[in-house]
Order: sequence, then C-alpha cells, then structure tokens
Amino acid sequence: MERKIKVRFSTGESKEVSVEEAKRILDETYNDPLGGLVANGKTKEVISQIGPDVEEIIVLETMIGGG
Amino acid sequence: MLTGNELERYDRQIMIRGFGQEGQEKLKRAKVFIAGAGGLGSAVATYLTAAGVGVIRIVDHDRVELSNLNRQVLHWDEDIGKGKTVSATEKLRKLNPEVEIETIEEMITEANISRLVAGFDLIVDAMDNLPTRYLLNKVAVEKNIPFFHGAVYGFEGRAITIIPGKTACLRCVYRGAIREEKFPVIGITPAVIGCIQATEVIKYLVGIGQLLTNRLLIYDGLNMKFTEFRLKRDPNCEHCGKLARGKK
Repeated sequence: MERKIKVRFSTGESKEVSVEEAKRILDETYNDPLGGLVANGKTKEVISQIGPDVEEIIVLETMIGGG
Repeated sequence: MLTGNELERYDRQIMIRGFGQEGQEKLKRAKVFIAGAGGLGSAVATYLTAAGVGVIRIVDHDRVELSNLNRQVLHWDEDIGKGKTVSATEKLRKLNPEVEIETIEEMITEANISRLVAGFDLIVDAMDNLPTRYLLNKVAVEKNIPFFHGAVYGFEGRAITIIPGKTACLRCVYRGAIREEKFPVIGITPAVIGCIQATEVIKYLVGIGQLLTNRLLIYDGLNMKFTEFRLKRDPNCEHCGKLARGKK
C-alpha cells in the first residue's frame, strides 16, 4: 500500500498526500520567498526533509507582525 | 547594592524562590536593547521597566498614529503625531524613575546596528518585518548577544529564545524575506507574546528557570492553546553555521 502523509496547514485545512507530494509541499514552503516552516506532526520537531518516520506534517506560515 | 526604596518597590519579586536580592541586583546591572516601540515593544518595555532592569534602550523611527492605539499601549490618544520613542520615554519614566530609559529615533539598518547594540547584554526583537529581524539575529550571533524573538498575527503569536552558538537561531528556522506590510492583530496578542519575551529576559538575567531555547512556542488565542515545536540548529545556517562548524 502506498505510504500516505497527512498534511495540516495553519489555516485549519488538512489532506492526505503521497510522499512525493509531501516533499513538494515541504520544498515549496521553504523555497517560497515569504518563507514558512514544516514540522513533524507527531514529534513536533521542525524538519527540513520528509524522513521515513514522518506520518504527518504541519505547515506553518512565517509570521511578521510585532508593531 | 539595592536602596531601601528599591527593596520596597521590588519586594514581591525578591520574595520569589531563586530570585532574591541577588537576582534584583542582576536586573539592576543589566542593559537591555529593545528593537521597536510598537505592540510587542510596549509590553516588553513596560514589564522590564516595572521589574527594575537597569538600562533599557529602545530604538524606533515611527510616529504614533491613531491606528496604533489598539495594541501599542505605551502610546495614548494624546500622543498621536509624537515620536514613539518620546511617547514611550514619558510613560516608562513615570512608571519607574529608577530605570534609565534611553531612546533613539532611528531606523535600524545594517550600517548602524552594531553601534546601536554595542554594550548591551541582550536584544529583544519587537520588530514588524523579517529583514530587520534577520539583521538583529545576525548581529546577535556575531556579537554573541542573547536574542529574544517574538512575532504576532491576528490572535496568534510566536516566541523563541536564542543563545548564539548554543541554540537554533532565527535564520536556522526561517528562510523567507517578507517585507514590512500591514497585518491584522488584536492588541492582546502582542501583550501576551511581549510578556513571554519579558519573562524570558528576566529569567535569563536572573539565571533561573528553563529558557525557551530550541523551541518555537506558538500561542493560539482563538482556540486558547499553546503549542511547542522543537528546533535544531542548522549546521549550514548562513548566520550561525560557522559557529556550529567551529565547535566541532
């Protein structure tokens, strides 16, 4: 059975995707000039690649405000 | 040495286990740099002034506008049009005349950042744009100055404490380059995050508790949840990677 990864966005939206799609989302998040973070949903560790142990990722947008 | 007046003013925090007069003296000797006198800066500066930090330097180049007043509680209706540094100084000096408040009305740039932070024990990030946050992070790493990051958006806020060379820095975490832009925010969010930053600063200076290092704390006010994400130093980080490699 194909390995699926759950993706949760900070907007509340979530979906199940293939490993390749999860990798694409991760790369897109880090390469986006607006930035962002991806965390392992289970371990709550910020990650830079989709390792074999990753079952769920959380995509967090960069936060700018303060003033 | 604390004066009789100081012993009375800070009595309740001196009572805290592990804090004592020694902790209060450490605060009195400390010099804290706050970048920004907006929403986060208002909360951080207010509580560090109340706590008795010796010297607080605040840098901000903006003027007070009506649309600031929902969150920037150091600035009041009567201050509209004043420099934020002027407005902040007036309030903070009234709050605690024992604290030396220094303000500088300048935009933080690559050209002046080293001069601005020189001689300060730590840097508080109360900015509203990532490029300046990166600049602060870089100078903190280069000069080995602890850096206290906070950011807000709507009902959500984030905080990280960075000890250069030891813990993940802002550039290990974020790679984006968002410019200053208008963002939605309710005033309580920078109050919550600013207070978390001030708590971290006080703990660091006094030497008590566990710092928010290698952890990204996310406050979600709408669902009233705090979530933590673990962070790791990036050995290839363009700001602190050299320090990581140097330690091997």
